[in-house]
Amino acid sequence: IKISLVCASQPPPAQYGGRHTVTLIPGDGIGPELANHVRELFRFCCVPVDFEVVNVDSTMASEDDINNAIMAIRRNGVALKGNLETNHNLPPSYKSRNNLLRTTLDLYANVMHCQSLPGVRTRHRNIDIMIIRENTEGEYSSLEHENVPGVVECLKIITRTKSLRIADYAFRTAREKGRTRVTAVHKANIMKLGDGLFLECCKEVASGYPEITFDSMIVDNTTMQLVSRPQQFDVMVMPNLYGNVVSNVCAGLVGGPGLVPGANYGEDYAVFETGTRNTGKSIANTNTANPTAMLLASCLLLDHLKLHAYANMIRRAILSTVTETRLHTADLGGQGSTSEVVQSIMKAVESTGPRTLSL
Amino acid sequence: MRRRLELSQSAADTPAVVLVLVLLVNDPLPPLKDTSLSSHLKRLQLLVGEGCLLVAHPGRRISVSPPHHTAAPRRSELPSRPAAAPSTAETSRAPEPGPVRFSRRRRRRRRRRMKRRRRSRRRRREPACCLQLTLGGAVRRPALSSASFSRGMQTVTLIPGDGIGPEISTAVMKIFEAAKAPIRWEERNVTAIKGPGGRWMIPPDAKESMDRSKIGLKGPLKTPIAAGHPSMNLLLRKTFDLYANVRPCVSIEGYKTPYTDVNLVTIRENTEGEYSGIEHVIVDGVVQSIKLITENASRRIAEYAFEYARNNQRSSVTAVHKANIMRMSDGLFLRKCREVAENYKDVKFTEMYLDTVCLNMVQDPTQFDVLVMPNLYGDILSDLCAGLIGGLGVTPSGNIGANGVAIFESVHGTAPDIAGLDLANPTALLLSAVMMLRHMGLHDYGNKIQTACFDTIRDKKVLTKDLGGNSKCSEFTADICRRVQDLD
Repeated sequence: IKISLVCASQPPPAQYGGRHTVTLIPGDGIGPELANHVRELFRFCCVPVDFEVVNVDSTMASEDDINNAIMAIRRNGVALKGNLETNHNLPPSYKSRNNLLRTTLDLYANVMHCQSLPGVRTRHRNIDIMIIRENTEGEYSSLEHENVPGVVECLKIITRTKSLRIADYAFRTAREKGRTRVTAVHKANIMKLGDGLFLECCKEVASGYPEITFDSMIVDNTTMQLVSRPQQFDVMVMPNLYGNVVSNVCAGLVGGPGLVPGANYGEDYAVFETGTRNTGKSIANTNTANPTAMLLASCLLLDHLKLHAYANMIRRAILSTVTETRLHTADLGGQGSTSEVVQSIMKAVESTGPRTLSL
Repeated sequence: MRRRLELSQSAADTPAVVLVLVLLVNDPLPPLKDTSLSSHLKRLQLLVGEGCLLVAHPGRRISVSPPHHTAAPRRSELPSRPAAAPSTAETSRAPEPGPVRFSRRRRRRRRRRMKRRRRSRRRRREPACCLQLTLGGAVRRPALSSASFSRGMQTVTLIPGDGIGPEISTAVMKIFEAAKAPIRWEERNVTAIKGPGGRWMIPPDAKESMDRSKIGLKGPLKTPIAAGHPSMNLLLRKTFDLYANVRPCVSIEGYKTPYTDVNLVTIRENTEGEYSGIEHVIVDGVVQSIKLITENASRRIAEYAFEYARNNQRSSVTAVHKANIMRMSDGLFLRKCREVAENYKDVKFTEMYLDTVCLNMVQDPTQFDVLVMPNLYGDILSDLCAGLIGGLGVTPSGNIGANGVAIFESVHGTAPDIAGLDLANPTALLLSAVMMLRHMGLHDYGNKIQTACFDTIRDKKVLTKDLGGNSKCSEFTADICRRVQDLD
């Protein structure tokens, strides 16, 4: 099996006067307002990034919109995305747009870094978990059929190539970030062949990284341990569905969906979004959404484009705003509005950072 | 002289409710002034006495027949049964060789009988007065056999299990004895044996005991790796068709966890879904695992969930799914839940994605009440909820099967390292036994034992090691027994 030894995705070169072009997909719900805040903040900080906005209408049955978005991402190499809503009452011919994007661009690794923030009050402290989730196969293969009326079969596919690839990504990332332990989450006692193959691939890759401890845990025990003692976990690698559950549990443990950014990496492309992929329909256009997750995702984007100075500047400003407790949004128990938080971040950038546009 | 007491429910369509009580008495009774349920039952106790046959069918009349040496109840009062004796026309004829052909009259009678049965099952009862007598849980209880009802004692099959199983089972039996609960234990061992045809099965005496008593209490069972047979839990599930796994998760005052006000129930489909065990290697390096969702199983679990919610005064049922990705399978599950929800307008029905449930559960578990879901999500979520209240050592669990079978169990492991050292914590098995008592309708005993158990834990004087103390299992048990006797 040929595993790519090159780093998973190189950033696209900044050809046009040193400015990068990034695809921006606003999405549904709170997506458009957060996308606007990101653009506003980048303009204010003079970040050399131009956004190419591609609107995707998730209510339309035709897939032209999402195909345009995919083509734009192929062109630019990098994207920042809001979540696209999927109406689950529509027939199976209407596929999830988010899933389509991930599988077409082969964004095989979803990385979510959950860290306890000092200013946010949660039941558990000192959490620092990196979750690496296989993003393209597993239960999300969308292969279903009804052989007999009333009996539906859904296929979960696990392949050796993809399992090896994600395990390798996990161990490489652990090594780069100086992490010491990787835990594989599975249910191989029940799904002996499927999750058994995944576990075997992880063990195979682990043998090539002797400095990193490898262990495995069954998914139900994992969730139980996460709510009682989450500090024991370091890096976790798992197939698609368990990744969904575990990442949402961890996001809830550190303070909610408004705080954690997520990144989807492929061989050639990278797409950044909020970690828990919520549309936030109920709070759309009320100016109460928490912009932290989307803004931290944009910092990850800047890191990927190797614009580390800008990334660190914005990240420092965001974290200083979050630790001032009175400027929390409603999901963290405060009374601040989205625009107030963004203004405060901009003020923090201005006071500590280099020359910026005037407010 | 016949006295008819009408006890019926307020809602029209709960199957597990008995409606009309007919008493055969010799003396005329003064008219009843106090119409409370307990007074009715007290009168029943006075009149019925020991050794009487109480035949109860959900939705039908309870008839009480005096002890067998006196006159049998009249045929019109008993629930309708299929015609016992064949007509004389058939018996007078010599038996014919070859396939059996019934006469036209007999076929017509059979058709009418089937139609009557179908109609009676579908019929909705009109409310007469507002008293309600529920025969426990959400399951239609079959007629109580006279053997188990004699002396008011009910038989329960006890499976002690392995490791710490025997000690915690003894502890539970002691506590029940102190509470004077009318339970007669029948201990059985389940070890897989190979039956005829090479199929693994549970020992026939265990099966026969369960079939008779219908209620079981099980300790932890170990599955030796590479034993060649499937896990014992799986065997039991298949043998008795245990389709619903119910886990009520209530925060225990006195056992501190970061989550203090959890009060929810997870109901998980136990037979199909991702755990169907159907896997294939398509080509080398590609494995396919099949998740099976069927209409019948989804409907059955949804019906159980709503019945449970109604019978336990729960206000809402939430279906947990991932239909945005698994459109057909979880879509079918959701559709069945919606259909069943139509018949239970008094219970609120909501749907939520699995990831949203996980996210909200760890931030604010109070927003959930009853959760119903397919197998895999149920496995993960029920263990998540168990973690919220303190782990598997304090979580009760019940498995409900078809034909009225119910097996209540403790879900923790066998803990072979502390087996036999009197260090085990019997709380999980005890709370499961309390669930069992409630299922059987013995709410008083259940509440008594649960209060005693929670008081002991709240007091923090005699706690086992896993609860944070350093007492022995026997001391913990003795304290609970003492409190139970004090509560009397």
